[in-house]
Amino acid sequence: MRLRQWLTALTVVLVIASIWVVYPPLDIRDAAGDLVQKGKINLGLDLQGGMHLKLEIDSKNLPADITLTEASARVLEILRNRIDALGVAEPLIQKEGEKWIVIQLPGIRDPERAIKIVGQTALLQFKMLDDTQRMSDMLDAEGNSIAAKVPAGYEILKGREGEYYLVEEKQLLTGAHLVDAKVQMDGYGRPIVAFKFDPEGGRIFAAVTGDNVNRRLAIILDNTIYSAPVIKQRIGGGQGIIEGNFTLQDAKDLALVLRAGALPVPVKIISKSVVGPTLGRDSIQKGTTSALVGVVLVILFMIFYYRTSGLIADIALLLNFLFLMAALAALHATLTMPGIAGIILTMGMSIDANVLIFERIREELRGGKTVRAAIDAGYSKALSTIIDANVTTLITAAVLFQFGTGPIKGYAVTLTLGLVISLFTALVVTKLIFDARKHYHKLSI
Amino acid sequence: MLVLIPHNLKIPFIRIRWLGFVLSIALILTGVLALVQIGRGKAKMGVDFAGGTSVEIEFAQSVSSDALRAALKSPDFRDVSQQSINEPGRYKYMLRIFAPALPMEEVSTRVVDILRKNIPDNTVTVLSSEDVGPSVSAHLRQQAMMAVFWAMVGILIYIWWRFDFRLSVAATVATIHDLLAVLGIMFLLGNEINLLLVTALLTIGGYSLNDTVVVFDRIRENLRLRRKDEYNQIVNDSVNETLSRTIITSFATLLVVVCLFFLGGEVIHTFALAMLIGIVVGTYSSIFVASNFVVEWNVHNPLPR
Repeated sequence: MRLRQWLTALTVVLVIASIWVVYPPLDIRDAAGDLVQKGKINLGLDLQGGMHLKLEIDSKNLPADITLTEASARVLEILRNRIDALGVAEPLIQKEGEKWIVIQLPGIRDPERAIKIVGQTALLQFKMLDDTQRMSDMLDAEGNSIAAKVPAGYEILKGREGEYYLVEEKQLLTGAHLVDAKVQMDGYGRPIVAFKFDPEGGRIFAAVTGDNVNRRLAIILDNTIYSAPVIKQRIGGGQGIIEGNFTLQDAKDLALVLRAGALPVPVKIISKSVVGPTLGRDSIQKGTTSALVGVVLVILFMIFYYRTSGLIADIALLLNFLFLMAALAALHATLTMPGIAGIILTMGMSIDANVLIFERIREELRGGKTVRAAIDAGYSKALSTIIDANVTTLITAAVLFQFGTGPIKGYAVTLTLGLVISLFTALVVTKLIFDARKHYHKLSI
Repeated sequence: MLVLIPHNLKIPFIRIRWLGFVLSIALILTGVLALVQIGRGKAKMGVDFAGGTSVEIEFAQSVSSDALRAALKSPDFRDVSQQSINEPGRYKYMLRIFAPALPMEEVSTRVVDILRKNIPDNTVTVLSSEDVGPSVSAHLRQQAMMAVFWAMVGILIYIWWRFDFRLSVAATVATIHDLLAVLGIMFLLGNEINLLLVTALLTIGGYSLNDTVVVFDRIRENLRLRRKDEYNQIVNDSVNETLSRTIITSFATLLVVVCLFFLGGEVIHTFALAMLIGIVVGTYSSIFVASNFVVEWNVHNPLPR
């Protein structure tokens, strides 16, 4: 008796709490499309649109002074800085395994630009250029340098237009000494990137420029020579510029990556998936429609087949739906399109428990039991079957969670939550409703 | 009381088990065929498993398949395939491109550029795109196989623990039967083998097992209650007794999956189709396959009771 009151109270509290937790489930927007209130359910990339990138750290080109673990931690940090500067709401950047990095950028409007910013190593180097030697016999027909012909201590690098330069291998200064980089306009109104060194970088820069007056200093970004101005005099103050026929956007992005710092090791994009906003909206709308129609059909079928008892099962079904949404919101779980399919499936499966119980009650009634006894026997005999039957699905859901990627994980989560919740709603809640009446003469089942 | 399946129904499932035997062999063979074709690289694999690029596009105005094919001609692209997505009033296509010579992250961009250039009088919108490199697809393939393997092991152990060895083997056989059947039918219908299909398969595994467990539960109960009756009779009665529940649950789940199939949109379409087939096959197998397997085993090697 006391247990029943407790459970009734618990159910009522859960219903109120769930409504409070889950409302509003999706973003509320006004007529102009502006956000009024943010939805409580976290939508996956496939539903809200966005980009998913997988990067691989090029461990073959790892510098000798840094381990893979250190390098990947540093890469992660720099990518975070760059993406923060890009201004994406709620990005996700995390390691996967030894050398993979997963980046999720929800709602991103310009994926190409994001790729450029994320994928760029942004290694800024300063080396001395040598234009006194002829390079024609150092290159083969394809434009690759012939190692034997290039003088020791020198290397050949390409410029932005594909032209070749001979530079000294020795790197005089790198972007590691940068403290700031920003876009400025040169005398002709063209965007350039102005940078500033830290004090030590400034000292080195002054010394290098002082020693090499009238020679050309190559400014190299990711092994491409951007410019090679002639040093007129020693440059103090630790400031300089990079020019290279940039568009304003390019210059801004370059300043951004220079500020965030160079990656200690190059990264390669190994998979990329972009979902446009239209498809996401379409998916949500279609998912919701199919879920609603499906649930209404099941509700009608249950009432049609089991009458009042079917109605009781329907109440359990609706509570299951409410609790499931609340659980997703409370756990900050991500709802994906397969996740919506998972919810819809759980709706179908959650009435299974009630079907099992009702069929059992019918059997017991046929066997000559009183209504009260038949209900109790139906519940107790069906219990172990219901648990066994659900555990098998839980096993597959657990496996999917373990091995699945984003959307599939979302599916596994909704399936698991849905099944666990359905045990409560289909067993406890319906029993409470049946027990609300003490004496039955007939049962509508 | 509305009754769809009469409670005193006595269908001699065990006696007509040869029927199920023939059908199941056929179903298993289609599944094996699909597996062999996948192994030989002859099946249509999704980009997630095979690598490459897929782009889903929508045109503002109608574009013929031939015009699209001509527009996509480029020396960079190898193995271009296209498929229109049926949706009234909208002109959507799913493209598959393999372009090993290009940097992976540029392929989808390149595809759209080419379409904009070659079909200039139409507006093309990218609904979604996916570029998958070889290391990622290899990883996903491996993950999918691991998932299927561990799901099977988990289920086998659980049923073994809850029931007995024979029933657990029978349940696993029935589950593998269902997975092969759905895989085979999906393959014959020309569907792409991708991660979402594997997800559907595992769900079907869990679902069909659910049915099987209900039947086994009844067999176990009846074996305890009716010690003098013949084994086959008990199994047959158990299947009949649970038939009503099996059919009703399957019907209810089918209702929602049909909604998902027709109204859920293209992302979930194949998933819903696989589930649809899976529910039908799963229902069939819990009636015909799992119990008959147990009976057959008992005929050849009776269980001491």
